[in-house]
Amino acid sequence: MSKKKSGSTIIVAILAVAVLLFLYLPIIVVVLYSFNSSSISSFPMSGLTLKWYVVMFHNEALITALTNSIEVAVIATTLAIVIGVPSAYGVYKLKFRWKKFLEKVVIIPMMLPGIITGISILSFLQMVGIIQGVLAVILGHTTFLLGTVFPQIYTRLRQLDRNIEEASTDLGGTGIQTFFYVILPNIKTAIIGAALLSVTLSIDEIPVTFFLNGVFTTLPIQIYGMTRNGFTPEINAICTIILVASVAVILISNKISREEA
Amino acid sequence: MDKKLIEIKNLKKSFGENEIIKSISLDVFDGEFLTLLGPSGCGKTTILRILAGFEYPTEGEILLDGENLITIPANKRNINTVFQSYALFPHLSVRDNIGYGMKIKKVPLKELNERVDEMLALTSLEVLANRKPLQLSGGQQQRVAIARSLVNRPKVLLLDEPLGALDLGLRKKMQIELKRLQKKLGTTYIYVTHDQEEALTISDRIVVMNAGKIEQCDKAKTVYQKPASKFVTEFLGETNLIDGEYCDEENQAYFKIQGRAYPVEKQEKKMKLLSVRPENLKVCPPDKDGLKGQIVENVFMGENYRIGVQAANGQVLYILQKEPMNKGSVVGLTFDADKVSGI
Repeated sequence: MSKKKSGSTIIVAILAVAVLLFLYLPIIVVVLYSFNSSSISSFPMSGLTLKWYVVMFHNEALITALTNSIEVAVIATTLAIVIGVPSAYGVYKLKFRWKKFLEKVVIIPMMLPGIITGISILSFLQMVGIIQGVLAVILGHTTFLLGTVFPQIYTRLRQLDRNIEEASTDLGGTGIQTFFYVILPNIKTAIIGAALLSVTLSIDEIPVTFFLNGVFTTLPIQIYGMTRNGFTPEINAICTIILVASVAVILISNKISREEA
Repeated sequence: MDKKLIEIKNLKKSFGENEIIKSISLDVFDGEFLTLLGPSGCGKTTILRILAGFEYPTEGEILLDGENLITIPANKRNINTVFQSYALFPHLSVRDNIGYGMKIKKVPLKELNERVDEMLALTSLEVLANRKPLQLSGGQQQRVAIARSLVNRPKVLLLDEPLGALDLGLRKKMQIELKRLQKKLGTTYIYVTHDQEEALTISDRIVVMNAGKIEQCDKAKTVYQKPASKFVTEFLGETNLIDGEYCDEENQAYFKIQGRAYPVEKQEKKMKLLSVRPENLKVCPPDKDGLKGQIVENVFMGENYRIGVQAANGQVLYILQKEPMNKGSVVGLTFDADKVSGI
């Protein structure tokens, strides 16, 4: 191969850099400004400081919203896994008439606009007498997270050699033993991956939450509220922290899927 | 060897409208290597799955050691299966795969380890004990699958085309290995294959199946030499089917081909076709008392040439010879009475 770069290669390289800048420059700016000593977002920065992080940690409303979000994410994810894994296994195992239909229907909540999911869950919960608040938010999140958990687990199950279940039965295993000794270890990484994705989706979620929260706030809703009174640098700080946490989650789930391969 | 281990009586199985097995009765003897041989879709795998407990028969009875087998769930049967895809547990090491059945049955750990070690040695898998299935070759995975089943000391081992995915050389090696293990442990094997050569090599008895029915069930040699039907003759290797008329005289039976009578063994029923395998047709000078024909083709087959000889009635008979023969030359063909069979 020749080391001389042709004109088209250079143009492609410039375009690639431009696209990357377009994607990541705003994020870089947020991270940089979170360390900016001036409270006005302007360039060049007047100096480096960690004070916005201190301010952020003293903003009680923000910290409450953060713990609320984590609480909702953990509970809703747990529920979605506990409900989603057995139901995916059931659909995988049983033969019934509407199977193909169900496979498609179950991913609809993931594709529907959040506003529709939000309104429909709200009217349903009002019908059964659950008022807006933490419980409604958890139930709402569980519902749309199921739409992401189920297909991920189901896809993994379908990649398994069906004979390994028969092999387990053949060697004396009951249905429960087969599930715990053979199926579960083989879909373990899919479950962890689905859980990590669910946590990030839940922490990030606005539209469904907006219909269901009442006076209960989650982090994105709190941040949204704060931006309406002007953009304060502590928002940059919390965004940077969320960014770091998200990247960490992505790296972990990549590492897990690489171990699988 | 003469003790009946499994008795299958009037077994039938339908999937919807489709009758896969049409009333099959079969006895399997203790310690034998029985092969179910037939083309794909003939129902041989279905019989295996019914024996394993993965399918339920529509009708009929199966006894194992005189006890009704059908009501026993698959996981309680003293029968193990070697799957065509091996079906090893991908998350477990070779050692844990082999120990799985005993772990389920709560065999004490000391005994479990001893038996796994013994089986690893028997299948020459010791050095691979800690590998995962994906790190093994096809032949090695196959050995693990066999070890995982045999370690449970089943009364019957079911093998569903276990060598289908292996290359020819490895398949031959594994055939010998399977047979050796079977002799050593005295386990009854029920083996399913569509490969007639494999069936002839490894089996004590062969059950030839076609379209859900048994065509013939006999010793491997008998099935090859004395096929009971046209289907069996044609399925078990190449053969020449010659039209003629059977006539029975007091001491000797004859088969008349194109006006000339050839001595054959006495038949129970009136044969309509004479089956001669290519290796049993011998060339003789054309003026002798035999079938006459003209050489029309020479095909190199490796060890032999397959030579086509066109008889007077137009039918092409095939013979095997070490050397090619002159096209167009006329030869005579004969056969020994005990090397042919009537259908």
